[in-house]
Amino acid sequence: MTQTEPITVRIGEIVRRGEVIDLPTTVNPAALRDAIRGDDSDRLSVDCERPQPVHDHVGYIHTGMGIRTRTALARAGRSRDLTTESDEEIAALDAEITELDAELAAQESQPAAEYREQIAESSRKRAELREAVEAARGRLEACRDHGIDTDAAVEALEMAIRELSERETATAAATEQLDHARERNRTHRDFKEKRLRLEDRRANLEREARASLVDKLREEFTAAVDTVPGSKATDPFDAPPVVTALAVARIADLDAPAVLDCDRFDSPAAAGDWLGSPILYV
Amino acid sequence: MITYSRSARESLRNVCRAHEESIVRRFGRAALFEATEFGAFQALRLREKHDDAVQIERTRPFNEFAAVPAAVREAATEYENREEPAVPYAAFASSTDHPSKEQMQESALEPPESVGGP
Repeated sequence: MTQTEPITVRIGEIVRRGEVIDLPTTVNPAALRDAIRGDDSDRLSVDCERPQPVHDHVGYIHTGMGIRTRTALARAGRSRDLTTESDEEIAALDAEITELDAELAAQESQPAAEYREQIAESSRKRAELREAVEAARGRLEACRDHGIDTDAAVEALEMAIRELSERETATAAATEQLDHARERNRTHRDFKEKRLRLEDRRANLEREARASLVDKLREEFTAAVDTVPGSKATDPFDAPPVVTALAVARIADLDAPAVLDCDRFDSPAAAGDWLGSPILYV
Repeated sequence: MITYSRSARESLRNVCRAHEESIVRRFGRAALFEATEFGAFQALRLREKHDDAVQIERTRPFNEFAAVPAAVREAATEYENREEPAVPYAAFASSTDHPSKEQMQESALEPPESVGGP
C-alpha cells in the first residue's frame, strides 16, 4: 500500500476518512467507482490518489462483473512498477507516434472533394460549350451556303469559342488544384501508413509485455486465487470474475481504493487486511 | 500490380524496395506504381518474368461528382449517418427515394473519359 494520505468520502452531509471505509448499502457502488475516477457529483465525492490502469479492472468488485484476467494481471504488475524487455521499445515507439501525430496535425488534409466537384461541373459545362461551338459553326456554314450575311453568325461563333476557351482554362485550373491536393494528401497518407505500422508494432510489443508480466506473476496469482475466502480449487485463469478480481487486487499495489460489493469477507477490516489495499466497503 | 505466386510476390517486394520513388502504395502482394513509363516498365518486366502470376491494371482517381448521380452520393451519406446502426441498406432504402441495391448494381459508372479529371 503506497497510500499515505487517508481517503475522504463525502456523501451529502456524511464525511468518512480512512484507508478502509465502511459505507451504508444505500450508496451506489458504481457511483463511488466513478467518483474515485474523478467523476464527482455535488452529492458524492471521493478524495484519493489517482487510480492506476489496473483500477479499470478491479476498481469495483461485485457479483456479475466481468474481467479480462491477463490484461488485469499485467496491469497489476505495472502498479508494482514491474518492467519487461519490451518497455524501452514501446516507449521509443510512443515517442515516434507522438512526433508523427504532431506532423499529421500540422499538415491538414486537403479539401479534394471540393475540387472534384468543380472539375465535374466544369467538364459538363465544357461539353455543352463544345456543342454550342459546333452549332454556331453549323449556322455560319449554312449562312454561307445560302448567301446570307454572315456577320451575326461569325460573332456568335467567336463568342462561343471564347466562352469555351474560358471554360477550358477554368477546368485546367481546377484540375491543377486537385493534382496539388492529391499530392499533399498522398504525403499525409504516407504518414498515416507509417503510423499504422508503428501502432501494429506497438500492439505486438504490448502483447509480449503482457505475456511476460503474466508469467512473472503466475505463481503469486495462483496462490492469491487459492486464498480468496470461499474460493474453490480451480484453474486460476478460469476462476469466477470476483475471485479473479480479488486476487488481482491483492497482487496489485493500488493507490486509489477499490469499491468492494461482495460477501467474501467477515468485515471491512478483514477485506482491507487481505487485499492490502485501500477499500470502500459497501 | 497484383501478384499470384510466392516468387512473383518476392520480385514485387524487391522492386518496391529498390525503386521506392516509383511506388505510390504497397499492399501485401499488390502495389500501386506511379503512372510513368518507368512504372509501366517495372510492371511489364515482372509480367515477363512471372507471366500470369502478375496482373497489371490501370487505376484512375475516382470523381464521385462525375461518375455517379447525386442520388447515389446522397444515399451513401444518409445511410452512413442513419440512426439505427443495425438496419441493412435494403430496409433503409425501401421506405425512401434512395436507389435500391439492385438498381445500383445494374447501373454502370459513367466512363472515366467523361470525368475530365486527371
